[in-house]
Amino acid sequence: MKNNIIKFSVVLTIITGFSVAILAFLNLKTQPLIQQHRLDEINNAVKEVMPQDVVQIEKKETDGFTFYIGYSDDQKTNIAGYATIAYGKGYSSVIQALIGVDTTFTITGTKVIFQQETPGLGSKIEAMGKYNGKKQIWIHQFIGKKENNIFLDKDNPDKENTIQALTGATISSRAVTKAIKKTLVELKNKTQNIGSE
Amino acid sequence: MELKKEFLKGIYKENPIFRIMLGLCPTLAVTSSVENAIGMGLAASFVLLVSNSIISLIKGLIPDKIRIPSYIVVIASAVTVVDLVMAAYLPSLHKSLGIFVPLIVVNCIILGRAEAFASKNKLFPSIADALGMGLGFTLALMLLAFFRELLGNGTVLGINILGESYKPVLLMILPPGAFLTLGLLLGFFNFMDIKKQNKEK
Repeated sequence: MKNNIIKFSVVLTIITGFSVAILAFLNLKTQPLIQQHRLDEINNAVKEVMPQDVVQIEKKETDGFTFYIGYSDDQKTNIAGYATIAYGKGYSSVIQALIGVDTTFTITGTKVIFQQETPGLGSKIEAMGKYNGKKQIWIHQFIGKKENNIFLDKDNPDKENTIQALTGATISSRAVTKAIKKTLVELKNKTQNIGSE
Repeated sequence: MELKKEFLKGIYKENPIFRIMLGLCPTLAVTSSVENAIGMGLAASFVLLVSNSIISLIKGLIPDKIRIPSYIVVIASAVTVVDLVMAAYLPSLHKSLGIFVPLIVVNCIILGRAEAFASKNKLFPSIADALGMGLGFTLALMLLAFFRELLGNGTVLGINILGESYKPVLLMILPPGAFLTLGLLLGFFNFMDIKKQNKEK
């Protein structure tokens, strides 16, 4: 019996040791590549939401607020727009939406980069549908809007040009709307001094 | 001939979901759309193939009493290897299948086949078994997802089938819909079996 226990431990240790060695080696090999992909993905998404004439992107961080500056020339002298991520507490996840603006802080692009909302309900924030009489992705309703012009129809029945909330997903709709509005104000404040630096 | 039998049994006779009833957790979770079902099925099949192959090769080295923890280590490592390799070298595939990979670790089919088949058979039958079980799993998931997506969203593979005027039964793509669909399908297959047995009598 005692012999067996030693034998079992040795065999299990060898198997685990093998696994650890393989995984450690693989992790070392793949980590830089995976990081690169993640970076590319974010950069591509940032380019997608920014004004079309943006050719160079620079990442900046002030007081824990991360944003991207888009330049319309390679020398990075002409600022064409900004982008940042808006975080909104949805129904079952923290929704992350990338928003891009031009220099007048009019939204030029939006893209959901992370969400785990209810499939078929809240998940429709990044799906095609018919909103305000137009076939479009739900979150694209924000394009062309300014911070003082973002209202959800459910909460502001008296306003015009509102964002049409998703049926059965008011919480997700509200979360995104609130987050984008709030983040836009923050982005405006944080980027105020950049031009004069 | 023998290999063909091992392959075919996973599709209907010993279908992992409708017959052996293993791996129901991920089954219920991912069958809200056909696209998800295919993704999960393919990812699980691949891990099954890797784990069955490894275990059939090292089965002689593992003492009987510690076979389960050993299999778990092998399976968990295989899943992680698949996840890392896919993330590094096939990023677009990882984007669509990546969310399913961590779920595979807890998929009982993998451990079930390791224990019931690969630990007693040679490499090639184990590969045939893995492919058959993987295919059976994928087909079963697709069948479940087909009904759920069709009724719950009016679409199949994202293509609108039932028309704009159809009002989706949201319940079907929510968790209760998974239980209802699975229950009805299981009942249907059992009913077919009983009918067949009665005929033979």
